[in-house]
Amino acid sequence: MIAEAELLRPALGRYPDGRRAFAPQLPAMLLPYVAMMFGSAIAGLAAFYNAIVIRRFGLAFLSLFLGFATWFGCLLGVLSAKDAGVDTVLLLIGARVLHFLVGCVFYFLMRPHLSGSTFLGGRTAPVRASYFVALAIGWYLPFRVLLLLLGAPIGK
Amino acid sequence: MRVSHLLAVGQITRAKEAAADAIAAEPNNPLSYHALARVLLAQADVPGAIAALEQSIALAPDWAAGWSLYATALFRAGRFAAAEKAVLEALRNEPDEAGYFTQYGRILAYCSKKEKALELARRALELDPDDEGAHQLFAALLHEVSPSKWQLSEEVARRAVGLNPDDPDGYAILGAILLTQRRYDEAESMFRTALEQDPHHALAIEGLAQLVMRQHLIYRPFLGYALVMRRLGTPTQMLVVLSLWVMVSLLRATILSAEPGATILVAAYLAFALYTWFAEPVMRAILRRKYHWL
Repeated sequence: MIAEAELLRPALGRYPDGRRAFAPQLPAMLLPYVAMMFGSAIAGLAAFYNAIVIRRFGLAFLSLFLGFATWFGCLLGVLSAKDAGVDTVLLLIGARVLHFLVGCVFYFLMRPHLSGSTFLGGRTAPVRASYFVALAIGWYLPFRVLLLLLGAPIGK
Repeated sequence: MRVSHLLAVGQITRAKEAAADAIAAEPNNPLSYHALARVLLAQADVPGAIAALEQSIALAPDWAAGWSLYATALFRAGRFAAAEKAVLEALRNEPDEAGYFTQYGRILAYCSKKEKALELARRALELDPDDEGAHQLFAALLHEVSPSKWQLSEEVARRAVGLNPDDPDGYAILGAILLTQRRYDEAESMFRTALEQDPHHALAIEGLAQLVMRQHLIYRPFLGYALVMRRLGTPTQMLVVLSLWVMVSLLRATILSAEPGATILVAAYLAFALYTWFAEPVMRAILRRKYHWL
């Protein structure tokens, strides 16, 4: 049971005000999946779009920076590890895990903003359709391109 | 009073005129601005309502009802943090008003602070066991928050059932309380009543599943997983299934490319994915084996 004083302590001090998006946003839940499939840079671009349509420019550029910084860091890490003789399988798994974790960060950053936009009547792209589109793109994308997007250019 | 009556009968334009007349007659009366704000909210003019309520609060800073309506307007404008501050001011001025706890709970529930919202609903019920709004909020949140993290007295739950004997939520909540007290037969009876009124009642079905899990260890992994997937909802289920597909593909292409590892992996994944998608009907089938009336 929560004590009375704790019950009446503000809990939404840093909760962002809702802003209605002027275009449909991508579901927040899609971001970790996009990050794992196509890398943090692409997920960062998706988060950037979501932030721009609600006119949150600071959040937009933070998303872009986080996405590309992670991609670049992953690239450097993978190349160094590859030179050190680390198994390419482990490199790929590690890269995917890293991107997924960053995707989760995007999810938690975006969730309150998407919730606020939806509350004020903003639209979100359908979840299932978005997932299947991402799945289809991942299926048909050349493997080399996929590896580059993941920041893991380890060859075949 | 006149404005309230006009709003109640749907005469919004006349209500607005009456409110404007009241302000013209008594420009320092906070009630007049409060009435205007109610009219503007009915017209969906939220910024106008906020401005009127700011006038009202400036004239009567210790009036809880003013702060409460201000919180409502701010919430509708999507200004959640400001709405919270306003409802806390209402509670500061009237700390024993159940309605304000319920209002605060609704704000927090929307902002995903569900455990605290549930606690606020419980507090509202303690103050006013007849508060239907608090009962509804409590019932709505209960399914999402683990029952081990809340407490509600059996007396309040029975009161809810007495207030509204046709509401399955009340029976399901009472059943959940009895379940925690290990009064399994009574709990089953409550869940059965809830399901007779609503055959798909989520909390009652979950309660029955918990009952079976407590009494039969063998069903725990199946029902436990089904309950988790049910609570996550379809989008998260998809995320689980598709993420696993990615990992399985990766493993098949790398570590487990040789037979029979690859086949076993695919078979395990398919079984897991199918159970995730069909957890609900499988759960019902298991429950029907135990409860033939389901």
